[in-house]
Amino acid sequence: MLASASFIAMRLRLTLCAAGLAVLGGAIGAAPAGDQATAIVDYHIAVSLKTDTKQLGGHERLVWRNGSTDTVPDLWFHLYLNAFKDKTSTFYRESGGHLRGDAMAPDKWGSITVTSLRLADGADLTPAMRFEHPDDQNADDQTVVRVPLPHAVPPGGTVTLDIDFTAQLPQVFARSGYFGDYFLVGQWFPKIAVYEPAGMRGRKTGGWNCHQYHAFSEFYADFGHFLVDITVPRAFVVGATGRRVATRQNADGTTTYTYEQDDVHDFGWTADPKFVEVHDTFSATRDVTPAEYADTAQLLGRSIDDVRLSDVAITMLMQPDHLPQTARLMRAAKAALKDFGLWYGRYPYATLTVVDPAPGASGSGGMEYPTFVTGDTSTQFNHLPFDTVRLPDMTVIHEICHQWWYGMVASNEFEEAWLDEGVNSYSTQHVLAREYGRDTSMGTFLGVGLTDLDLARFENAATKSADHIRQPAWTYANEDSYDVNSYLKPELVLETLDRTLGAPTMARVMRAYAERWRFRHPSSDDFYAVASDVAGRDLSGYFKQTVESPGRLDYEVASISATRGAAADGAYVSTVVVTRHGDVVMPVDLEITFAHRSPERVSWSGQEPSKTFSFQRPEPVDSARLDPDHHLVLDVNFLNNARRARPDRRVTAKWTSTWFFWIQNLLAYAIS
Amino acid sequence: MILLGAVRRGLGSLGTHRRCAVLLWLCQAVLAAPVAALAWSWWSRTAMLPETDTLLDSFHLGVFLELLDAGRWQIVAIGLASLGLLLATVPLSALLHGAILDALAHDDPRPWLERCRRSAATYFLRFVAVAIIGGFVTLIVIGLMVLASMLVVRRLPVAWHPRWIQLGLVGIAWGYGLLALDYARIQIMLSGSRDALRAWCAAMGFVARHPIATGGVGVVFGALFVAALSLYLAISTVLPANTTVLIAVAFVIQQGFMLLRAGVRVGLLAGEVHVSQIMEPAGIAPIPWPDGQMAK
Repeated sequence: MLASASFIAMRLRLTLCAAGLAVLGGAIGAAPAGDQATAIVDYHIAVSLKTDTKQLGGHERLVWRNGSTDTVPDLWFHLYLNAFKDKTSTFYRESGGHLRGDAMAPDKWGSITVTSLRLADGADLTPAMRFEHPDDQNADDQTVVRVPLPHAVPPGGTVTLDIDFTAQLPQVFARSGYFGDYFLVGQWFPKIAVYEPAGMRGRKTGGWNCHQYHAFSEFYADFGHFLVDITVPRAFVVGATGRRVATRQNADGTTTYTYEQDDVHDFGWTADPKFVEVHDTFSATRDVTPAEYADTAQLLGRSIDDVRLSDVAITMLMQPDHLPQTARLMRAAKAALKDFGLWYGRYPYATLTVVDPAPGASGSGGMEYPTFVTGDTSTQFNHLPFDTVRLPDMTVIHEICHQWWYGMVASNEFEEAWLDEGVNSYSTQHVLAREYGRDTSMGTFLGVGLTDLDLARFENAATKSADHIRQPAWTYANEDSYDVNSYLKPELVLETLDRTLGAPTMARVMRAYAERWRFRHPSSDDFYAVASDVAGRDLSGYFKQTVESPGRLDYEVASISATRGAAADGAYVSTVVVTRHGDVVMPVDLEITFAHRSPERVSWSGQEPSKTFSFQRPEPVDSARLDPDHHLVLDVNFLNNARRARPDRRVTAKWTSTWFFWIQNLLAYAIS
Repeated sequence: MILLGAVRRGLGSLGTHRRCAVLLWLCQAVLAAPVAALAWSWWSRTAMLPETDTLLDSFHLGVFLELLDAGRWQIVAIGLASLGLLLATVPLSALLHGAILDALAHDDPRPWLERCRRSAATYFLRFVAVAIIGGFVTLIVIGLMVLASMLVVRRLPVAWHPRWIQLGLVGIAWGYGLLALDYARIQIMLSGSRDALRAWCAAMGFVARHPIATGGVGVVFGALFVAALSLYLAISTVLPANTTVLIAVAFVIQQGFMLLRAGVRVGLLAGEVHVSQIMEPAGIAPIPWPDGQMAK
């Protein structure tokens, strides 16, 4: 009954869609008023999957609205799957066929071909299509195509296109493809680029923002409405962006599933006969306590109604081998919907689908699409000793976090990857700490607590990169630099800011940023402006040092000494020399401990490369510690932040004897 | 009865052959000492750094990673030295087992150290050979078992993961291999056999023919080891080794455990010698003295 009613509604919408953009922002799956995107695109796609040849055949009706005040003479499209066409693509040249620990299978290429592109009036634009190479002039790259229009689109005008396409899916490599009967279909259809008018994201003149598919970059697209019919063999279980509004059994043994969603900028789907569907609901009343609402409202200075969440239907598509992990992953998903919703505004969609990629297809794991994310786990996490490690949970939380940073706050992932990945990493770390404990935020391994922040600090310190956080993703020197500058270092930059401003202020900064840029496309400058505005002070200097330059922060207590003074009272003159090694300057506290006395604190602006502090006290200095509260997690070396006057060999003795003991035991086994 | 006798003899050896246990413990300690010296050097960097004090209470990954970053080459050196030690254990194990098994098998009034030296030298090559054969074959068998069990698991209902059964099977194979190696050494020593391969094959058969006696002795002394380990873990968990005195106490407890562990190992060997002598008595071939006189 429900499916039938929805199907009728879908058909009705299809008719309206063809008539223009009157329906954009319409009824089905829509968010409440005031919680919607300005629709620029309206896609209706019918796609069928040939599971034997791993091919897609599709028809796309696209209505694009010119939201700018410019007259637009052409259209630009992404054909992302052509990144996997052969070894000449920019993606392949940059990656060498290796990415995110995965290798591209030889001869398992992928591609997309637009077989027909016509205007609604039938005018054939196919011959006019030209591949463009705006980033690297690689004439062999076919991931961007430009179509000149016979009539330019006026401001506020629309253009309707009918596009036929076929696609060959690659074996899963970077995010999408197949592995056996498992399909993760992402970046699979001709997707129109973003037309940015002057002033948007700092642009001087209006124009298309359409980059080639690069190894170290993700995506950027405009908001709108998606209605997608997916036809697969009957045995396949399907999941996709949005709500399933209709299911139709076809005479040829296939099934067509129809999905629909407003206020999103992409559409991903999956199919696998082995999927086990697990359904649950995130309940805004059951899964969030009154105290959590009250605490959040107080933290943000809002009313409880302002922070109230809504119910979400969660579908997990699990691999049978990973079923023992269902409960923990569902807990992670609910924690993410709760915490991110409380902090950054409610999740406005009715559904969330979490996909568990098939074994061997981890290249498609850990990826985000609107209302649809992929996890990343393996059977190792079913059992000891890895069942206490929270990596699969972290992946689910991280990808759901993208529903805010990427999904709703839709920054340009090509040009400013840190705005989605870095802000996400900072946010994810807070959920992990809140749900699993600050010292065990990533779980435990053999009893040792694992924390996301420790690992981020280690990676950041180990990476000697001259890259900036804010730079086009494809210009990073290598994958390590991309990882550190897009994910980890921004996390540390924001965590340092959090600890410096204080948690309540930072919570309000993030909330304001999420609200002001919800369903829009912010730039780094927009984030800086919100942060400065809410914090009540100009933070641009901080971001200039940390985001706009490859700055390193490293303070050190270089030396510490005490001599008995010449005065009659016999007081000691204690001297502490502090040094700044990095080029990031931040004010910092210096805590001095004198024998048998409470510690004293002084401040250092950090402006000078080095500074000497002297103290005259009855007792000699015992130790000195910079940043005693660990506010500056961006500091690449905490160990040199403190020094004592006299050696204390307890740690040395304890751990040497422990290692000695372990080696003896190892020998005992070996000698047996 | 045989099992009881073997256990009694093994436990008795803890008193009568404590020098063997001390020898085993001492060898392990001396061998581990150079690596410990490198470790001391690496950990010494913490002496002036208050940020590492958190390691007095428990292991902290973040602090350890920063220490690692500051001295990774020394850690590589420690790793290589440990690897070298493991290689050295093959000949050392042959020497020690020669010395200890001879002392356990024969009541001999001659000077203990001199006997150890002679028996270690006498059996050295054969014990090295049998250890290599035994270790190699055991690893291959375990590898094949893992492979076979993986193939079987693939055909099982997918939601069921018999991981513990797989681990149990590997454990049984590993234990069987270790027992066979022990009995092969004992066979060589008792029969004077010069063919290591034949001795090892015979030992495999011996363990298979007498699973209760051989496995029983192994289980009893394995249980003793687990009990000692549990006691150690219980003490080390409640003992906050964060002061100089408590660190020293912890060190003494660690070495006490290692000594106990060596004693359990000697007890197991004594029990195994007993089982061999009772189940399949063979002509004992004591080691001749240089003047050709045999022990009385």
